[in-house]
Amino acid sequence: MRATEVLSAHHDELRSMLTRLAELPGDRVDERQEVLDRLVDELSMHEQLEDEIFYPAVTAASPMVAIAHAEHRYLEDQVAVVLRTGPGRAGFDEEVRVLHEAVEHHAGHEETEMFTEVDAKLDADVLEQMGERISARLAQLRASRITRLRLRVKRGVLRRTPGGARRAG
Amino acid sequence: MPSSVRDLIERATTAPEAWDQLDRPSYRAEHVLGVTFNALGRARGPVVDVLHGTWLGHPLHPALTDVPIGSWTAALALDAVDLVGGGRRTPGLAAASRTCTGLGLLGAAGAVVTGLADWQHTHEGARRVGVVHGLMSTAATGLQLASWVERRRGRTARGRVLGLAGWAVVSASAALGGALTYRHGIGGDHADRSLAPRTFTDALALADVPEGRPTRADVDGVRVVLLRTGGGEVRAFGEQCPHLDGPLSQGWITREGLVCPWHGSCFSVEDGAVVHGPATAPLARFETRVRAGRVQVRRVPPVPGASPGSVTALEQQREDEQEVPDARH
Repeated sequence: MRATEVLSAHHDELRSMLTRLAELPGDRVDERQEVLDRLVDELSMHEQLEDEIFYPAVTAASPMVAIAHAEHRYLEDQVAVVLRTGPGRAGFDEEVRVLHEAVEHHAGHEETEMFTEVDAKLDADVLEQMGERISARLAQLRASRITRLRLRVKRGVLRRTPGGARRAG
Repeated sequence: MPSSVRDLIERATTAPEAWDQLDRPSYRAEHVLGVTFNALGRARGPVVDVLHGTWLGHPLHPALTDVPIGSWTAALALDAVDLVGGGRRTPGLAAASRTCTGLGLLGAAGAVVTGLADWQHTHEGARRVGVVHGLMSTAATGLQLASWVERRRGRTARGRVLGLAGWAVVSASAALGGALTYRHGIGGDHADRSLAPRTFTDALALADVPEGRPTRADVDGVRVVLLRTGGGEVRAFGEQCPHLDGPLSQGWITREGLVCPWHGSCFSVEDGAVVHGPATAPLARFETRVRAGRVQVRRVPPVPGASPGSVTALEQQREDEQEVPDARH
């Protein structure tokens, strides 16, 4: 698969997790937390794949890399808000909706503009090779204990920040 | 040779734009900044808005940089006066110079924090110039700190040399800061502030403006974003984010307002005022009305009485007189 196809497929996974989160009834707090945690981890890994492999390789082919970086930053900030709010509190659905909007904007922006441009400008071989590298790196990140620990610590810290769900008040 | 001076400055201030090897460390650094700000939890928004100057309607960083540059220049001047005095040294001058150096250090701390907050939302060339500007300013602050310590220990001559070096570095850094403002427009207002359209002009069919989702319209070459509220009312604002020209029609609406999809600036859907930075300037505003199922918009002049805004006001008044008065929104 080409790099752009691999990343689009991963976008679809993120989208389906966001839809699942929105559909789960409010009283199934534990299940919602589980889906949320998986979504946050996959989103972090997705950003890492793009930051490490894809964006540096396509900077010359697309002027949209800087904006894509800015969008990642917004996603990180909104993930922090969603984790802090937590699935058991009022306002969670609204914050998840905002995250969904932001993910949809970022993914849609990449798929309709950046990926089309990259597909047209880079060699098919290069894109295939890059796709393999991205798939391999994703599998490696998902299997890595260090990555899992790092992501768990990140989620835990964000939940415990001032105003966070794991704090009183 | 004024033109060769100009060429030299031009080369020096634009060279960092091409240093793309700075990108990777700069995005790493931004990641750390993002985590640090998010660790503030609920306080993140208010703290970041204070740093950007959202509360002031003006970027805070360039206002604060006057404190270190001014204080360190004053210290340099006092040192020079003291040296020119030769044998008849005035004892108060050395102490005054030390106080100025210290005051500059306090201002520099504020300038560094606000500068980092603004820098993290810049792109490409400006971002790279910003990295160099930040590193030089930090180096200058280090030199001035060393100068202050030496002066306090009574090693005045050494303190003065360090102060002079710090002053030279901060001046060069300020030139890059100036390039960021005047050339790259960082901290400037990127919204379209023309007065067009002066009279009600067709934008879109009302049926093409969905509820709760921003919609873009091009009205006589002016980019406008239309928002339809739950009550069916249509509001219109400039489509360009004043911060860095992000496309607001691709943004989304939260409880707080309309969010720019690039850097997350948030604007009130009531009047276009900034709710959250990095933007510091409000959105351009337009009046709307619906005629025969079409949305029409016209510019709200920022200051109705001022020229040429007064002409707009007159035109609008004349147009209104021809209309049924309460048909407007």
